[in-house]
Amino acid sequence: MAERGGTRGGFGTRGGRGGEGGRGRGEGGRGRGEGGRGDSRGRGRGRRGQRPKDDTTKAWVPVTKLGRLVNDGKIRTLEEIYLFSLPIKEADIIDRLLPDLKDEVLKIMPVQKQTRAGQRTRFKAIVVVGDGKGHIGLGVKCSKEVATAIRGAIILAKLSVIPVRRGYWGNKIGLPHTVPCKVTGSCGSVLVRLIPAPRGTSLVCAPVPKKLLQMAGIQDCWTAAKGCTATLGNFAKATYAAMAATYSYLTPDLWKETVFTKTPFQEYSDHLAIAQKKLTVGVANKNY
Amino acid sequence: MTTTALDMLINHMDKLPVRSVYNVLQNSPRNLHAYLDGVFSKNPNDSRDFHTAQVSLYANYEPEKLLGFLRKAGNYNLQEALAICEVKNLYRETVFLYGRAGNGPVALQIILEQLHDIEEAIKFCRETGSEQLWTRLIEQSVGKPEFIRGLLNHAGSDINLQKLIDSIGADLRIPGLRDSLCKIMQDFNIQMVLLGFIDEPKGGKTGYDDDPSNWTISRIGGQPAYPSEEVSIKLKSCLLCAKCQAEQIFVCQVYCPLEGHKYDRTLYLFACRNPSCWNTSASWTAIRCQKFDETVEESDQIDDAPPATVPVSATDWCDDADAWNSDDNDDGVKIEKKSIPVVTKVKKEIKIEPEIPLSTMTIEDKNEKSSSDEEDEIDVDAKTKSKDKLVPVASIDAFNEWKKTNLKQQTLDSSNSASFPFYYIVIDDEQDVIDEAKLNEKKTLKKKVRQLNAIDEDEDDDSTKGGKEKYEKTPDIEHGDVVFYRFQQKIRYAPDQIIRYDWSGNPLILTKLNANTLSTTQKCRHCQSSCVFEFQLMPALVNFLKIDNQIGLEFGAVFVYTCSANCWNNNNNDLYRFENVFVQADPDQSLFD
Repeated sequence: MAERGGTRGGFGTRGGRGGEGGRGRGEGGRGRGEGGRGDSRGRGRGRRGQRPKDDTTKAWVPVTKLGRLVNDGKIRTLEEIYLFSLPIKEADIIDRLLPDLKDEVLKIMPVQKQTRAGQRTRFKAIVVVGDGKGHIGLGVKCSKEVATAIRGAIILAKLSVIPVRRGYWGNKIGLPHTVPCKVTGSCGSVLVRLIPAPRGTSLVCAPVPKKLLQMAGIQDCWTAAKGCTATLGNFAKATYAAMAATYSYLTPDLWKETVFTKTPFQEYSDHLAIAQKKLTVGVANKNY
Repeated sequence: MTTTALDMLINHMDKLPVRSVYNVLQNSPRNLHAYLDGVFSKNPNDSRDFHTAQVSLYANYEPEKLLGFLRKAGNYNLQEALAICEVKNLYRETVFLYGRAGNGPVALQIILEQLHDIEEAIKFCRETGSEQLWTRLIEQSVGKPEFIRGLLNHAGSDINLQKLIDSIGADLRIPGLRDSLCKIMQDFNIQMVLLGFIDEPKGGKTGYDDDPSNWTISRIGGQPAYPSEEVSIKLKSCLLCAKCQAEQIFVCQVYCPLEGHKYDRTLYLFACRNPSCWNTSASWTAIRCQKFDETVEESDQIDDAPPATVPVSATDWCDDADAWNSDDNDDGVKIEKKSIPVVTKVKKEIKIEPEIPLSTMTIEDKNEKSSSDEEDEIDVDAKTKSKDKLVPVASIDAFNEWKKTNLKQQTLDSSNSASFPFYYIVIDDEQDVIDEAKLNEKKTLKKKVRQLNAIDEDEDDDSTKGGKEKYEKTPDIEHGDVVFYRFQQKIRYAPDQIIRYDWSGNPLILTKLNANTLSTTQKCRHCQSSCVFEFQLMPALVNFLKIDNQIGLEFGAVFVYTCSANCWNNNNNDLYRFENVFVQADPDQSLFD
């Protein structure tokens, strides 16, 4: 690469001088001897260290505050995030908190759109992730290539991981094995109903919800489905919605209110803190 | 033939086979035409046997519909159709048929001579995509100013601009040349982004450190290196946070001389360490220092610069985005490699037009448009998402308690001598990084893709293939922040980038931004000319701004806008100038406040 006297290092030498044109376009980064390619030194060179290029697993660099907290280990379980309803924006957070998460592709189908130049076909991938211990996620992505669609769908599935509540059909012996109550979820025309079943029943349902229920860690369940269940996307989403509903259902054992008490000293210091901040709505909505 | 009769005939094709009707209607071609037209619109295959006849019928009675028919129908005799169209002087149809027949050059000839439609010609060349055709097109357009202008406007990416411009004679007057050239330069502008990554810290492995007091290196942390002592003395006292008057800490310096500009130029960023001042634009300061450098020649020749990548022209890109998910733009967009010298040559050609400085032209600020477009899209989603949002299980107080125990809130310690750890920055071109990453991905996914292609083939038997499943434009994202999702898509090939440099380009916003918020950065403080976006700091940088192993400074993204005229008063012994900074908070910040 021709160096002009080796003085032009650093970032893009782009744009022109003000007079010549606001959008006068110079070429960018011509002087860049960096990026592992430059050889000669000279004053004003940005670093030319080699970036690790063939890293098989690049360490995760968090981009959001929640990501940083997870990366530093300040948040240890996914339940802490669920408890405070914090939105999860990075898929690596789930990777870190649920290391034994498995993913499975439910279906890849081509979808078409009519354009002036004929038909455009893209591939839609539906992926379900789950760890078999009460977490399930469902992702749908459409893309021109199959691999891209699958990768995108896996990321979306991880972002949509929710907890699934499991309960008992009768006696509370052993670990929970079925849904805690009859729950229903719907998407489009499909309605899926999950009904608790005694131990040993195994999953009595169509293959699509079966896969989802298995990945969530539900061992026994009866199901009833209505609508056009041939649309796999809607069927899967309806089952996902039904599983999401397990934690929104108020069962008698949750009747007793959890009172979050505070020591008077804390209350006092909180009061000072609140006085400085703008009054939040939450203060008015105190549960006690 | 009345419409009721037509309807009856067409709707009862099973009882009244097409052939019998055809035979009967032989005597009245007009009615026959109407009938066959109806049959064809209902189902092209039903009138298969008569397509050739239909060609002549359309040509006689409804020539406007002929092209549509030719495109859709399959069973007509090309030769005959050609003959009919030529007799009737139906040029567009002839062009289409020649294209179908594989006879590109003849078709091109007809377009240029009979139709004089350069855009049609370009479309045709693009569809056929053959190099030869383009060359012929260029040859043909020599000496025809409208053609050249059309070519410049629409075919910027498909042809070798160099050749075209060379072929323009020096004294040829081309109306609207200036606008076409600007458009081309704008197109070039789209993807030449430079990314900065963390390189080793001081005293790192390669053991060959650049002098840390060298002010022409890009780095983060440590102490800033100024072009002269005076600057450091003068600045020491005035780098105070606008909110809390505490002394600001040095974040990074970026060496970024401008093309064709005889100055060494560096930008310095300072921020306030006070946790209550984080994520606010007022607590950041950007300084620009310049020094005249004679050794730089103002060149218009670039000898062996590496070829740069040029995207498809602006309009094509947008079409694609509208039709499908805009995330997948980089998967399929055709990108050609071009040599840069074109741009400088283009500059010379401006002499053809009367000289009007380009800066006075109004080119829309893409900046504002893009953010407002996304805004419109997102509004609907955000609203619905907020309705469905569940109230958190734990009360706000419980959360505050949890925060207290787990996130030790930092208090600003008064040791002013603290500084961030010193790292150099390594710079790479975004396009190269992406290409490389894609290549690596392809290698690792080869096996997987083969497996998946196998799955794909099984689906052919499935009757619901594509029928009931619909394309979903915006992916259904649980957290509802589509803008952040798009941001992540953009950086997915290089998530550890800490600086994104794109002079007069568009900032990559982190979350939804209101259209007015960036207006504070639009004017230069010193010379009142407008400011352009220069570079931004990415959230990945926060991980490296640690003091005593604790995060010392937080932000989402920091956008630096600099004077577009690069004002500097050499004679007046200017030491430094202030620039505008806009800080976008971390998307999660509102939750943790």
